[in-house]
Amino acid sequence: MIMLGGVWIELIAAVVISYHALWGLLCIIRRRGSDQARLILAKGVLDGLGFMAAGTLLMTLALQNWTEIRTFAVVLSLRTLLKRVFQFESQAIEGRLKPKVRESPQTQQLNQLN
Amino acid sequence: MVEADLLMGSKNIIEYLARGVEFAAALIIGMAAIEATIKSLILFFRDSSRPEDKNGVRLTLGRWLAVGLEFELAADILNTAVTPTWSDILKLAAIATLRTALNYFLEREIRQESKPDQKAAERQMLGDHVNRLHSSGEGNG
Repeated sequence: MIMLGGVWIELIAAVVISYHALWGLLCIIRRRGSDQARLILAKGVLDGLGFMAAGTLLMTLALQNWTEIRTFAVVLSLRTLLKRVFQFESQAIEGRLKPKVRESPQTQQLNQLN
Repeated sequence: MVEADLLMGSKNIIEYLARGVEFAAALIIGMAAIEATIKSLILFFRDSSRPEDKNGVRLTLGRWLAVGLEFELAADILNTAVTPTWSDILKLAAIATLRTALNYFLEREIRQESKPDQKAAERQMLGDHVNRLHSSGEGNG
C-alpha cells in the first residue's frame, strides 16, 4: 500500500515533468527561442522533483534491506543535487532573459544626456 | 493482486512518459543537427562568409544541444522513478555532469563572443551622439 502511494506520487511528478517537456517542445516549434523552452522545462523539473522527493520519502517506509536503502539514498542525493543545478540554471536564464542589452556606465551616461 | 497490478500499471505509464520525453530530446537534437548542416553547407559554398557566421552556427548548435540534453536529463529523472538500477543511477550522474560542463563552457563562449558586439554597439552610439552634438552646434552657430 505504501509502495503504491509512493509510486502514484511519482506518477504525478512524471506527469508534471512530461507536461512541461511538451510545453517546452511547443515553444521550440513556435520559434519562441531555446532559452524560453529551457526555462519552462527547468521549472517543470523543479516542481516534479519536489513530488518525486515526497514519493521517495514515502517509499522509504517500506524499505527492507541495505541494498534498497543504499539505492534510495543515492537516488535521493542525486535528485537533490539536480534540483540545485536546475534552480541555479533557471535563475541564470531568467537573468539573461530580462536585460537584453547590458549597458556600460558610458552608455548609461549617454542615455541620461539624451 | 490488485495492488501489484496497479503498481505495475503506474510504472508502465511512467516508462511511457519517459520514452516520450526521450523522443522529444532526440527530435530537438536531430533537427538542430540538420539545421547546422544546412547552414554550414551554405556557408561553405558562399564566397563571402565571415568568421562570425561560422561561430554563429556553432553557438546555435551548442545551444540546441544543451536544450536536448536538458530533455534527456528530464527523461532520466523519470526513469529513476521506475525501479532504479545502478546503471540508471550512473547514467543519470554522467548525463548531469556532461550537461552541466557543456552548459558552462557554452555560456562562457557566448559571453566571449558577445563582448565585441557590445563594444561595437557602444562605439556606434557614441559616434551617433557626437554627430548629433556637432549638427546641433552648427545649427545654433
